[in-house]
Amino acid sequence: MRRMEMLIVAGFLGSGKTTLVLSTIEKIIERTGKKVVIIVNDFGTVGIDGKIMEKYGLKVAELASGCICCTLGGDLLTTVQDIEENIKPDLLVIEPTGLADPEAIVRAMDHYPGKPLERIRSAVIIDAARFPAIFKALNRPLTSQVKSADLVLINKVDAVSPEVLEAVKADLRTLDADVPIIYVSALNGTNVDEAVDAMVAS
Amino acid sequence: MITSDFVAYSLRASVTSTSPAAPDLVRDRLVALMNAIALECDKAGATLIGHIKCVLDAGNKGFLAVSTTDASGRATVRGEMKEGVNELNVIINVLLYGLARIKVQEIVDPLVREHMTFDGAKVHLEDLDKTHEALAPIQIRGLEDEPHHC
Repeated sequence: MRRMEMLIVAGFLGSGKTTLVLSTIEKIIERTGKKVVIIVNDFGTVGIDGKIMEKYGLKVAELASGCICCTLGGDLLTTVQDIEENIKPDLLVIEPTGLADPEAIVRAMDHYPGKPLERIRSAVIIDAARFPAIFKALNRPLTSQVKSADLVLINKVDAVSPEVLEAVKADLRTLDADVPIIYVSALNGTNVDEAVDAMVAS
Repeated sequence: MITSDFVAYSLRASVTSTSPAAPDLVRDRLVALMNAIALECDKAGATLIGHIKCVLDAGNKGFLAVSTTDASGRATVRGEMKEGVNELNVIINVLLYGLARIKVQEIVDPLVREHMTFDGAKVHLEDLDKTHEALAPIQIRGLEDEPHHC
């Protein structure tokens, strides 16, 4: 029997994680036939992202008021085990806060007391429009996010010029991000199919 | 990415008015509010705006989620309200860098009152970080010594 997989959809605050999950999740289900559950971790005391997903018809397990890669590590493991035992999904999608280091989530999962997962992959969303400012202000953590990714999605491509996009991609390549980099606009659907293919690639 | 200058401020605005607030008016006010918060925080010296967002859940009458990531005045909207409501419950999260939390609160609270006071409406603000509504963070054995990554 195939074990549960985990996909972490990480990215800085406001990079478009929720929009991307909303625009890809139905396609992932259609394409793979997998049973999917989403865990959303929002930084605010009352999560907003989870409420939005619920309004779009998704069932969401929410971890609010902290970051799962830090203080909520235990909550994450408990929630994952509860979901695994009671819902038995094929794929667990985690949308952490925009502050999370996906690698720390992977390390937290080393302590997971349930059945070992089939695999854990992470996609990091980059905000094309704000990348220069974020890269300057938060170089180390952003570098860490990108380096731990299996896939980088440069989002909001509709908001910048081709030249800016190429500059963002070039900067990312300087981080030794030797992973697929896909231009996408989660808002208007540009390359969403390509992103879905990469997110579920075996 | 929690640095020493990162600040998070969450509040709930409960608005009660004697007559239903029209959906378009509510939508416009929320957009103006998110843009105003971003602009004023930027003016006050925020070094980076992370995410300023709000959600209004009106049950079967619809919902609105509005957010912005900069001070350009281009907050985006999700959802819609199908009819006017007398009571609004809006959750607002402000996540940014470079200002003290008290400064953010001093900027945000008056703006919320200004934008959400419809004709005759009463506005009650609640600092959600003080009400402890959320799950208490739990640490597990083996993770206590992990460095804080975010």
